[in-house]
Amino acid sequence: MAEIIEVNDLVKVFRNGVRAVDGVSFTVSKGEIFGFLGPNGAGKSTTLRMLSTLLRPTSGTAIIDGLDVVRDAREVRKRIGLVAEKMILYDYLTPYENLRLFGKLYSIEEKELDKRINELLKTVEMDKWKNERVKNFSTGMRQRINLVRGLINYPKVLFLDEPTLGLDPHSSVEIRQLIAKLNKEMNITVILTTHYMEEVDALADRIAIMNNGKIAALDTSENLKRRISEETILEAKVTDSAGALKAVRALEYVRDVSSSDGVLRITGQGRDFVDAVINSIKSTGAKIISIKEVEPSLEDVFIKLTYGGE
Amino acid sequence: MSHLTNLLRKEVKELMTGQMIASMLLMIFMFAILGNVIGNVQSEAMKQEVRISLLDLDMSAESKKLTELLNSQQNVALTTLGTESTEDALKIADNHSSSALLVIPSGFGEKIDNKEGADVDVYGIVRGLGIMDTTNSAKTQVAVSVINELIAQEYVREAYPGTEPSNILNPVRPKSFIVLRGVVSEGSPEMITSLLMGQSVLVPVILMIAIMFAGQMVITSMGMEKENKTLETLLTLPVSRSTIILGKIGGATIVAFIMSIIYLLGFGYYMRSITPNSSISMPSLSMGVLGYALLGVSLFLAILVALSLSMLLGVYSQDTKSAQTMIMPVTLLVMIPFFLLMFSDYTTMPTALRALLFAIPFSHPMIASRALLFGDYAVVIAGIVYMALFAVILWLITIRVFRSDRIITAKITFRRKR
Repeated sequence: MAEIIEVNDLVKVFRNGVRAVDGVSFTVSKGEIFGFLGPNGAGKSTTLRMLSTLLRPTSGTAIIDGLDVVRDAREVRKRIGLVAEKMILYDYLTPYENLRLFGKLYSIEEKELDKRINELLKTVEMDKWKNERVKNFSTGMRQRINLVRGLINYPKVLFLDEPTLGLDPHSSVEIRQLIAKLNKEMNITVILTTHYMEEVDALADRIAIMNNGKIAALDTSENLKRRISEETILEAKVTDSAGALKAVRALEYVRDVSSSDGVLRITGQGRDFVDAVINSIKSTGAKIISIKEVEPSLEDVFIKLTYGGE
Repeated sequence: MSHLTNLLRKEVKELMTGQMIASMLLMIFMFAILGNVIGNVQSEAMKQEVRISLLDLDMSAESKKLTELLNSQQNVALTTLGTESTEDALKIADNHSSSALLVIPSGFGEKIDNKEGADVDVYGIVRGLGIMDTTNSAKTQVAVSVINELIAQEYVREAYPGTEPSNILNPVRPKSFIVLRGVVSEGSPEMITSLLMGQSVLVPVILMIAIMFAGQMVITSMGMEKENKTLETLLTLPVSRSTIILGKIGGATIVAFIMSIIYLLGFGYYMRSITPNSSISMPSLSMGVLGYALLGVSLFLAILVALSLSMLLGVYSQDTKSAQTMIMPVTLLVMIPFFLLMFSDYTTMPTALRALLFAIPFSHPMIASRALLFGDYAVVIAGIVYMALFAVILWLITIRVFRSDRIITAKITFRRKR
């Protein structure tokens, strides 16, 4: 697949001296969904802002569809769409008027614009409400309009910054399905930044995990999970999780342990890891109701790469 | 151009919310109600009779004549009291809702006959401090002074039969003229002062309202755009940054202009309602078309400077809340010339103060409103040139900021020291 985004040694140092992005390089293929993960302050948003021409890189280059984001900023803007975490819609306007306003700002011809608006509203099943004021809509409906607002110029690259933040689970699933559908039907390259692991796991073809301004890992979800496959993850349901947690944490084989609803999730490695965990729990007087080995999740990878010091 | 029209339309639609239209309508309504209420109270007060009680302790021919003179006056309802003590008379006068009690002491007639000058005690009964009460008090004073005039005329008639008494009482009758810009008009300097007071309050008040409203609108809109990240989206569109700024300032200017007109009409109606007989015709004091045009340009530039300054300050806000505190410098810069020019004239100020006022762009429409009446075009044109330069510099700084990272990253935080 041809590459639509090429980023080379991108650096952003702010006036206060903070090195938000520190030599990031990656490429994104046409039609790919590329996910960005990372804790707050990792440099995801700054990278996204440089790619969307909002911030100028201190050094390095970023090329989108063959155009430099600094030198050819105006041309790049015609080829990209941005859907930020907050909804960029005007409440006093209808979906049709909102899309028309943005379409006009992209200098889309009247007839073509009208056709696109109708098509996009149909795609997100909002054509029935195209003449209702946006202020009367639910959050999910608004986000659907917001999403197609970013597509009015038929962009080659769509930047999605936390697209499901603040949505209820049902609306989140709906928006995720919509992103996948738009990516498939319109062959749009999507750069997705989110805090939700399951979102990026379900949507992204490849994931870049950022930490301290650098890319800590970049691969498919499967390959990232495989990176920690030398470790064993156990889930144990016990009667006294607080006491067991304390005891297990003290074991030298254990790298990470967490507790939720009486279930301990223990990550570690070593030949005697499983025996040591079982014995340790029993020694506290707690009873093991059930214990099983589980596959590592993207969250495990994320924690290991961002907090685990790899 | 089409981008600008679209952005302008968006900005105006965004600013002209239901709340904004409601507050405009409320302002007109308030002016109309206030003007009508105050005007009606005043005219009712002028029409109503003033109640005066009179205690005659002299019962001479002269005191009876005074009573007759009082009774013959229009708008005076006189009650003659039969008691002999002032204390009792005051109680009765109060019960009769009189505005004043006049006590003619014994020996009044004798003193009048001997041309010695006689006292009349006037007890003003105060019941409130409203327009009605103060008008009644003024009417009592007028009634008493009219009596004085009539008695004096009678003295003159006795002493100089066949002579018009007013020619003796007021032998010199000054006729006032004002020479202004070489034109002689009939009138007194007080009339000019009253006219100038109207101008010097009206123009700054309109300017203050327009600047504060428009500045607040721009700065809040910037704060909101930053908080909601709409600005980031706008900046990723293939529209030039200067068009985005122009759209914002233009939208606010249109709304500020509408608001100023509404305010001007409301305020004018209010002023006419409360001062129905104060219209002064002074042809030499009229500004003329050029004067009004220059004042218009001066007002427009001042509003433009305020909007550009607000926009620049708005860039440093993080959200709506922080944006609203950032309007303070603009407000202060409007308040300083307003108060300085309320109490003194620009031309008679010390040089340092004049320099300070000249440096503040918002002083110029206030200075212009007076200077144009006196035909002093130089200071007005200098002010216009200065404001235009000021606006251009602000404009360039704003465009520079909009083109740099600061539009996204700039912020001023007001943190408390721990």
